[in-house]
Amino acid sequence: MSQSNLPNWAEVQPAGGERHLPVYLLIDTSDSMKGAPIEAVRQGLEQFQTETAGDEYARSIVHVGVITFGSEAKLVTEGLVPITSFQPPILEAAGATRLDLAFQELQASMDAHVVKPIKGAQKGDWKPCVFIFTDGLPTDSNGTLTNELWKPARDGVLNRVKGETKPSEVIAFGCGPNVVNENLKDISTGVAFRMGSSVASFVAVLRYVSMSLAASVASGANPDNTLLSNLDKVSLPPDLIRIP
Amino acid sequence: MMKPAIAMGDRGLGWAGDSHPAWMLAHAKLLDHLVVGASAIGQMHLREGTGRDDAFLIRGLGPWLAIAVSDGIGSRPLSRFGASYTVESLTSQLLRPFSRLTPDPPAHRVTSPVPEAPGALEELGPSWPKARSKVSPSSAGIVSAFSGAAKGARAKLTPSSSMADVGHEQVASVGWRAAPSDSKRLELGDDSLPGGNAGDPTPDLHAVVRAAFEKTHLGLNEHARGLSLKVAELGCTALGVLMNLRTGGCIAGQVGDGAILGMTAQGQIQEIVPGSEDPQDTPTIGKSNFADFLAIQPAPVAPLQAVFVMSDGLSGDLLYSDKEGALEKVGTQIVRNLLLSATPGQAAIGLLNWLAGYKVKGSWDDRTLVVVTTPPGRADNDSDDSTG
Repeated sequence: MSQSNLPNWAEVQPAGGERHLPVYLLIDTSDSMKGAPIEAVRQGLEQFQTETAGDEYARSIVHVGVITFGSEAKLVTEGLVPITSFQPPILEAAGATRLDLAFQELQASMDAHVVKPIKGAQKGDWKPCVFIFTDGLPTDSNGTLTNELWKPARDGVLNRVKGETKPSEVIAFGCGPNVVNENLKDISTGVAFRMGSSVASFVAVLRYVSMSLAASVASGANPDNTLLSNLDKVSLPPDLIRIP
Repeated sequence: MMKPAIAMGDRGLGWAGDSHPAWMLAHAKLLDHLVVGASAIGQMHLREGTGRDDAFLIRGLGPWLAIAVSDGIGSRPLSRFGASYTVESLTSQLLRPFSRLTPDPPAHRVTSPVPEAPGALEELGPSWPKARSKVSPSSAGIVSAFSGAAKGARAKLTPSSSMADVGHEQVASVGWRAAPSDSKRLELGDDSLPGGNAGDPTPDLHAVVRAAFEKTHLGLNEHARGLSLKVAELGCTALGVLMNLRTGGCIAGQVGDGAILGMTAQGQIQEIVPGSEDPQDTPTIGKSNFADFLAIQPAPVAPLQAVFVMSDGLSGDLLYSDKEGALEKVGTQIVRNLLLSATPGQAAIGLLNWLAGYKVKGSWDDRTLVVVTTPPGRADNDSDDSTG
């Protein structure tokens, strides 16, 4: 420390530490997503990476986790990956629509990978943002439609005890003819959307997501409560419809 | 005799418009304490052309000092209306038990020498924090938001869409109070106020702080109604400190994030009020269950070398480092720089520029800090207990 008799503010440097915004993308890879839809998702993920990593503020803090769900669910990124080094995974579509398993993977990852603040040790991450992309209704392992599995799993993610990590928002995007508005709204914590199934639709939607994230980071650098309010500040792609 | 009082910092906002500045500083020398406050807009707000959501206010009444810091939540465009109200109310309510609104009797007026009006305004220097706000040809942002009200219609209160300026200019009001050599004025009439003389019964300070928070909560709800808003739109944290500058006693209360720290004469720093253990909590003083999150604690030792009251834009950068001694190092440096400054005004501008300018990756929020400190030696010599 300077021993002169003049103030020296330049030498006062907080130790700081990094804080990240975890973003989870839960992607339906059930049988009905085979072909063009799953390819559209992959291209959309590329766009998401490009757009988010291109924002000077978002790229500093966004870490991505991708969970696919068909007959099984898997955290294909094997953790939360900095957006600057995120590479869209190879996606394969098959099987049922086990949204419940996706929520369980999400809960496990939040406990394992989202950093909690410790005074004198480390800064904690912001609450995770969760985006779910699905083209159908949740099922059991036999492909039978049911709400008996995914609803308690979702509740387990949202209704956690004090001190446990939970998401700031869960936002569902439904594509194709088999989605039901009420189901999408039930999955979400707030808003839900219907979208097209084309490459252009997925690209546009994931671009919208990345812009909303950047806007939420911009609003006072505390995305915990800002993502929802900033979804309204970003223009909706033409075939993305907000479900009232 | 009425106690001399001071008030400095951010003022409340209402239908008269969003006058909340991007940067604010305040400074005073009270008894032998240096009191400095500064609040700097975050880099993200500057980029987006939105306003500062932090606020602070400092009030003094005789030997009593009240400090409040508040941080409006980012998702609410009008939260600074809540933060500015909160600091006004909290500091006022903290001092209320010590106030008597009685005019000076003629016999106690100072007759000679009659002080002269100040001859010159101390220049605080041109080194205002550099702004990287968007440049826009329109200057109507703030004015247009309230043009409906100006025309007589009770327009809905809406946030100005952008700072919409081509630069930032200083808008200031500065006051002068009795010089330290006139400190006898502070002593006169002590026996008219509780806590003024040794042996006087002091109000239960814990109850004083609790009541101040409760009344601020109620007042914030009323303020929202007056603005035709929901109280959630004014969501903000609340940090309050009540100090007796003569005894060094200090008690603090807090709802929400941020930090209130005390530094001993030996340079040790600790939180006076323990922060929330659940980092996922975002309690605000407007919520109906705010009392569940209100923590009130007296300082563990008195007097302290320094007291720091800060919003989470700064506490987040100070409290979570794994580098041993990092917090003490920064705290000591801040106090040293303040005390080495040529004048309290220079101390304040130095603090403000530091808050506005230091770089930490991902740290883009508003930063607010109020520091009360004394020259080294006083904290060592005094041995009063921790209550006022």
